[in-house]
Amino acid sequence: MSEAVIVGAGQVPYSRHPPEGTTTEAVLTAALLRALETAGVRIAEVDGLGVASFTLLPDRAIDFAWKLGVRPRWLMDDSNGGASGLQMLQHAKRALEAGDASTIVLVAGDHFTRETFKALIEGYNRATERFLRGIPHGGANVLFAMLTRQQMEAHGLERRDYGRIAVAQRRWAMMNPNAAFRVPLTLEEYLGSPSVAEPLHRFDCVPVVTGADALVLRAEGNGVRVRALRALHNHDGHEGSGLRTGISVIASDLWDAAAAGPGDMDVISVYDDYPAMVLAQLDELGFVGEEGPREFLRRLDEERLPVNTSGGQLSVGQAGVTGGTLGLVEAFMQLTGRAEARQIERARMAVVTNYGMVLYRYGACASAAVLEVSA
Amino acid sequence: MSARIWVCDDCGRAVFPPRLLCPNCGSPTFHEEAVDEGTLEEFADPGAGIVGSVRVSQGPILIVRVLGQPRRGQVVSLDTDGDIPIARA
Repeated sequence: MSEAVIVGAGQVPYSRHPPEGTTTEAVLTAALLRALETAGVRIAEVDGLGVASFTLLPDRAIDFAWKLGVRPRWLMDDSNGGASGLQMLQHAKRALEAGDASTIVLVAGDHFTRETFKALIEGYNRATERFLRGIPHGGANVLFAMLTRQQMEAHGLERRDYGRIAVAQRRWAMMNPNAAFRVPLTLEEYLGSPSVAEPLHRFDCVPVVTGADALVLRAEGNGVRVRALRALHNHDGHEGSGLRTGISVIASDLWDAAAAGPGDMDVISVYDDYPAMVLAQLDELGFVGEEGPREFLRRLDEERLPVNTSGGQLSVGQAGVTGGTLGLVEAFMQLTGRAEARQIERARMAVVTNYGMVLYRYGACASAAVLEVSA
Repeated sequence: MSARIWVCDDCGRAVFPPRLLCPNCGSPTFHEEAVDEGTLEEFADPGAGIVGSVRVSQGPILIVRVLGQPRRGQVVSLDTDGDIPIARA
């Protein structure tokens, strides 16, 4: 029985101000070519394609295949935003193991204009169009401002505690040439930055960038294998507070299936649309123990815990759907010794989460994977 | 002067926004109910006006436009501006 392996990954540097004439299909292509190069795979060998993008429309995965000269036996469009990375991985892994394809490339990326970004936010889904757009809500920041405040109240946390996440991730981003933000960030700067919607300030919110990620998978080979992957979407029917994600339901099964636990993870990539959600997911995965969140966050910062070692979306940026693939690409780079200045010594196992699709009050998608170097 | 929620005809589960099938019993039929007030659990100001989340007694949490001077935990009266729920503090 074959087992799917991620044999290559590529990323286009994320940019706040991409050159005039940049297009979504060009950035997706650039990421794909980088991934093929790391994998030592030629475009002619690709017989499976998965694409996640908000802005490739009206083109779809089949258009992209046509324009790349790819003839896929397995084809997937994913529209699940920040959950698209593990969504596509979940399906691609099964496809390879079933023999539906032999060489799959997954690409995710976006290039927005001011107009297309505004259109995305305001027309995100019917619930947004009907019940949020006219408030006006202006996007998810205000929703997560409320959620953050609830979390602060519940755990006795202050802004400076969340600042640990922003500062720590910026420290990693300074060593990531693909990150959009690489200047040092101090806690004072974090606290003093312009307010977005209290208690969220500038560095609590992901910068919108242009960028793309790609992964190459095969049914065998050297690279990174998936020890376990679990997903649970709409876990609470959107009838909860939003402070508990679907990760809380799947975590123990994930660890059982992986025959590993939080203590075995050398690299941790959690979906970081907001620091509050980073904390929630780390807690749900079992990384925050008896010490409690305040002490855990102190250690995350001061002990340089390997969380979001790319710098995360908070410092690398959010290129639309790439929230779902950023942590996955970083895990691949770390586990295959390609993380350069950010390299975690003897990195063998990683856990990656996806979250997203804010349907009304919070994200409805949640998934996590445990990855291991396979050589 | 009220907001609207949807209630399952079969089991009485209340939802907002509306669903296609009841998340509790799977029934496809709902009726609308007016709801006059709720508890303002949280609010935040992104610069264009205050946005809040109000829990109504039937269960659902509504995202609302907040008018007036809000305090967390206060009971607010509910209204609508088209489909948009409004809370008056």
